[in-house]
Amino acid sequence: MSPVPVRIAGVVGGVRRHLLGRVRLAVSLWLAVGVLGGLIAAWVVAAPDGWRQGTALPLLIDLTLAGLGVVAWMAYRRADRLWLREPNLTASMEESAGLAPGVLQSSLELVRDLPPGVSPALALQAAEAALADIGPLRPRLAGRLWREASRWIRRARVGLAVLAPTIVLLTIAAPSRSLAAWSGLTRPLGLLAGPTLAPLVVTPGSQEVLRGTDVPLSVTAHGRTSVTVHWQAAGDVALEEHLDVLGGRAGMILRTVSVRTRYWVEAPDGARSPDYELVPVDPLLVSDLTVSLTFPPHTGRFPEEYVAEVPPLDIPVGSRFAFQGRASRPLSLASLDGPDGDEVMQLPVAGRDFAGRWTPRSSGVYSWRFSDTDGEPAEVMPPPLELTLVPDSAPDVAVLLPGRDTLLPASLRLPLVLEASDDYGLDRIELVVYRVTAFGDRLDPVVSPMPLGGTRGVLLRPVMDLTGWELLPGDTVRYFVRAVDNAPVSHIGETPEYVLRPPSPADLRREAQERLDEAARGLEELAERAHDEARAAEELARQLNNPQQPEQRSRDTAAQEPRQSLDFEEREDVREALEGERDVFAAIDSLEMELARLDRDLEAAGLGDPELQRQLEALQRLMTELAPQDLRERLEQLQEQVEAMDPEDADAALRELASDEEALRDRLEEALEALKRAAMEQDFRATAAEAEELAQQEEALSDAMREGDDPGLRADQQQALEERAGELQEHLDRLQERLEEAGEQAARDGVEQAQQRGEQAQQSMAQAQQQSRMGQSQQAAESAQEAAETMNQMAQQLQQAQQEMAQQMAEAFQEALQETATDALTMAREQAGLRDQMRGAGPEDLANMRGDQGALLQGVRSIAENLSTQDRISRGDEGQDVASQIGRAMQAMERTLAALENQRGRTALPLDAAEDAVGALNQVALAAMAAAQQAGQMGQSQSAQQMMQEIEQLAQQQGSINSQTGQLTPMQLGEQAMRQQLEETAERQQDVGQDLQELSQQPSAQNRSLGDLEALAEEALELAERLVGNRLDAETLQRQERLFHRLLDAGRSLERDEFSEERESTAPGEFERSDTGALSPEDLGSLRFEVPPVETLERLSPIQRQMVLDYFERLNRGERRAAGERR
Amino acid sequence: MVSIALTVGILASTAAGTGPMPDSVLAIARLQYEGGGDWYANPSSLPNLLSAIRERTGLHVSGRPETVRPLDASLKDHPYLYMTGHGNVRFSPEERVALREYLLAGGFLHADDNYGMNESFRREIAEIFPDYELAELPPDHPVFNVLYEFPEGLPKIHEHDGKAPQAFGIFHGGRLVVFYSYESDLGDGWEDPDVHDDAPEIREASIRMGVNLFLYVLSQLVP
Repeated sequence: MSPVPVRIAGVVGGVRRHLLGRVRLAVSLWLAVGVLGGLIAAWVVAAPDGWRQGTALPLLIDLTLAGLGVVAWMAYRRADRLWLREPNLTASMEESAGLAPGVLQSSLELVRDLPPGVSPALALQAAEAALADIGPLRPRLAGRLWREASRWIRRARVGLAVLAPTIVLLTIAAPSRSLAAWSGLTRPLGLLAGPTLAPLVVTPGSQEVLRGTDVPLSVTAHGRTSVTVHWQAAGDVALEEHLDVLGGRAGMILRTVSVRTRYWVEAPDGARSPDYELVPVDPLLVSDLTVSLTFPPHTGRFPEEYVAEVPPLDIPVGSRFAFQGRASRPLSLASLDGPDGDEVMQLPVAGRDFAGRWTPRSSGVYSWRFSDTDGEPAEVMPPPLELTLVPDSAPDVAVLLPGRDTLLPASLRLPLVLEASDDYGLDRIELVVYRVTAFGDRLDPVVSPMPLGGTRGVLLRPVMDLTGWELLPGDTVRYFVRAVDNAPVSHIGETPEYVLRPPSPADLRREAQERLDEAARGLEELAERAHDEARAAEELARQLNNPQQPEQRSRDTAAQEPRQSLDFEEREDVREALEGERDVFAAIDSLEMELARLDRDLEAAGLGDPELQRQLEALQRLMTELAPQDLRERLEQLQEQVEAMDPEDADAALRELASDEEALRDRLEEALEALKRAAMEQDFRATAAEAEELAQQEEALSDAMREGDDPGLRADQQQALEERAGELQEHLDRLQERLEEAGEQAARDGVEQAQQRGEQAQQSMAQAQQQSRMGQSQQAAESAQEAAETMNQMAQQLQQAQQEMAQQMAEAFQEALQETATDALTMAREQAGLRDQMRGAGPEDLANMRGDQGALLQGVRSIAENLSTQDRISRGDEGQDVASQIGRAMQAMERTLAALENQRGRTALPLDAAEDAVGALNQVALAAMAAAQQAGQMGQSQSAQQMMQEIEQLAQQQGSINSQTGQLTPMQLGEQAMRQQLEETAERQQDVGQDLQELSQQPSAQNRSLGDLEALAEEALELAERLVGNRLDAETLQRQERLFHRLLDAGRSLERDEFSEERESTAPGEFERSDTGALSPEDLGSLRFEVPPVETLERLSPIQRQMVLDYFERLNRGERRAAGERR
Repeated sequence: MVSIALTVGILASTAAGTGPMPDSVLAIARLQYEGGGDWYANPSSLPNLLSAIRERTGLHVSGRPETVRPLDASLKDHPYLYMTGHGNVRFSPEERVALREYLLAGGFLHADDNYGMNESFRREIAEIFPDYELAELPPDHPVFNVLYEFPEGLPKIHEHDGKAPQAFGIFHGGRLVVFYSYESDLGDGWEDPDVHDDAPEIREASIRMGVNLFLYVLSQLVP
């Protein structure tokens, strides 16, 4: 081919390639516009958070973009094939080059394939011409096609210019949205798959739950309107329940999950939750909790144990707890938390068990805390421990009796009633006693411990025995009680200190009077009781004779016949009546003992009042006579015979009993009169002694006032004495009443006069007190002196009235004795006459003599009545001897009368009995005459007995002096007053010494049976010298007291037993033992009837026990007697 | 030394079961009687005997003997009574009843004739136990060998009338309720050594006999 054809073909081809490039550019730009448009569309249609699942928009956009690509491709292909076809292209070129249509095309065709017949040259030429017309190759050569392509390119660029910034803006403004929206375009199919619902969320899922509890299920099911819950308990069918979903949630409660339960949830959209399982577990429970509480040893409390529940506890400090228990599951923690929530202790755990010990340190509420191995707390905690720690406190101790400052009793044995308690336990009680001398010296205390061994409360009744203390006048005894608890560090509680004042002679006399009064009241009650017993016995006798249930007896045919024995109730009634009399006897014995005790106490206290002692001894004898031994034996005999009594015996016994009791009542009333009389006389003596003591103290006070050292103190002392004077006036009132009641008018008048003196003295005392308070010491001293003198006169009047009364009684007694002697002699003569008549008299004559004998007996009874019991009491042994003789005479005459009546067959012959009666009456007369003579010689004899009485009186004086000296020191007298008082006391002491000297020179004192009176006299005189020398000290008081006791001893030495002197023993010498046989069963006191064992007896009440023991005692006693008789 | 005598009786504790009662302490109480006899004789004898019992047996005995009268309410608190003296012994009817009841109810009385109380004691004990007799105890009686051996019976401590010592007893239901040591004078042997200047072997014999008697009585108390 020539170059022209190539060139022309090259030009056309070049234009075509150029256009095709333009087409590709346009297609590409439009494709870019489409993509950008798609991105913007996706940004717009997608949700802010991205595409919703199931949307087709991304796909649509993607498809659109893909279609756009296809279109672009097709457009490109079309442009390549159609739009850039050679004819179209050449036409456009021809048009652009201004060539005639078809020139270029034909040129091309000619150069490619010359038709036949066409010259190549022409063809070439034409081609060259066309080529020349076209000119060089250039873009515009394409003409219309180029413009059209450029237009498409330009439009695409405009689109890009708009969309590209938009994309940039969107990306910058909402990158996440842009990313979400545009990323969705990359997965159009994923989004196309429709919306994906959230999985079902079920709570609680698989879990252990407490067995038996309700389990709430909660289902979160977004996008569903309902769900179905399925569950299947082990061993049960599956169940289901449809639940409406509200707000994406639904719920239900699985009730009472007690077994393993599987459950799951399904949604209508097919969603299904996993299978869950509820595993029931038992709750963490604490069981078998045992709390042992151990108290500190000193509390003496037994350990306590609580199971499960512990009540609020008040526990002593130091108490220890021991805990033990187990839980329903293995534990990881067991602890106690204190009131503030802090853990106070942790108990060791071992699996399910826990145990531990703990000592609380403070009060509060302690809570338990238990956790299992999962850390779960116990379902139910044990109740908290509510503890109150009580610290040990000091013991409480009190002296209940006497519980105040008081006067020591005459016995110097003061019964105390102590009460002590401690919260935990008492170790001991200590009685601390010490003496304070008249000079204020405090002696060492005596501590008497009483171990108590840890008891928490006691009532003790110790007796403070001060008999060995040798208390001196003016001494005081002070005591207090100390209780010591048994805590490791002991606490001590103490009572206040109490003061005991030893009794003065006046106090002793007053106490004696009060105890006599008390005995008199006892005797009065006893007399009434004896009367009641007598009436009861009579009534019982009547009942035995007239049974109260005749209708029953009438039904009983056997009852029509005489009864052979008593029934049970009757026997018991008889026994009770006999017991009543025995009780009366026992009460009499008690009274006798009380009198003996009084006698002993007064003697121990050193009250040397011979008159009172004589009366007491006489009263004791009288008491003995009230219930003589024969009466007691008869009573005992009757008691033993009760079992075998028939109604007739019982009737006789009861009547005898009633008679005895009436007689006893008479004797009791007589004794009562005697006792009242003794009490009255004692009242007289006590009052006189008090007046004398008061006068002495008033005088000492007067001396003290005269010194004027301390008017206030003296006024107080005067006030105290005035109060005592007031009490004395009250005593005088009562004494007057007694005397009036006893018919002692003269004595009563004397007391009345003395009382008037007392009133005057009291007025003077009041005046002295007032003056002393005003500082008028001298005037006060004068008034006090006047009071002392008046009081002295009063005391003398009382003593005089007392002596006159005693003298009158003595004279009356002497007269009664003389009358008794005369009457006894007369009756002896008559009895002798009757005796003479009995000689040779026949039975009938003897019977006729009964009247005369009875009259004689009545006469003797009259004598006995005339010689009253009181006389015998007042005069002591003399009266007693006469009374005894009268008793013997009466017995002899009763025997005579019985012999005359010949009733009992065992009596002596009347003549012999009468002979005895004559002798007895003569003895009465002799005894009465002797007694009368002795009574008349009172005060004239210097016999040993008289001397003894004088020594007793001196002992009394010495006692009074001792009391006076003892009272001086506490009065805090001034020097001058003290000297003056001592001088007066020394005078009295000297009188005692001189009297003793005179006595020692009496012939009856030579045998020294009364002691060394001369030595006593010397001692008394020496004491007087000490007092004159103003040497009132402890030694003086001790020597005075010793002298007093030696005088008492001398006075007593002739009249009673004294403690025997202890003998010195010597080492044993040779001796020969005798063979001693084995003990026999009787020796061993074997009991045929064994007493029930202790265990059995302990189950009985004390009364029942005593009855059982008495019963066995009676049984065995009878057995022993029988054995003794057999031996 | 001044002292005070105390008789203590614990009557009641506060609330029932609120506290233990004090530990029981074995003791010997001296019986005080009337009649003029020196019931208080040999004052150091019982403390010495009690001390010996405590040392030789380990028993918890009180070191201080108390004094009790037959009518004291505390009589029943003393299971072992001791009485001695040289003189007259006299009990009132009420005291006799109290002593009888005490002895039959489990009490024990050792009467130790200190030379001079034989007649009155026999009289009184016959009043107390009219239906019992004092029976002489043979040398093989357990009281003579319960701890220490006295093959010949009661030892002789002091000379009085050259008579052989004798031990008498009153038994009730086989139980020794009264032990009467006659012509022996055990109490003198129990006294402080310088009181009677007894030979050591004599004192030892008396104390041994006292310990024997206490143990024997104690053995009667324990069921």
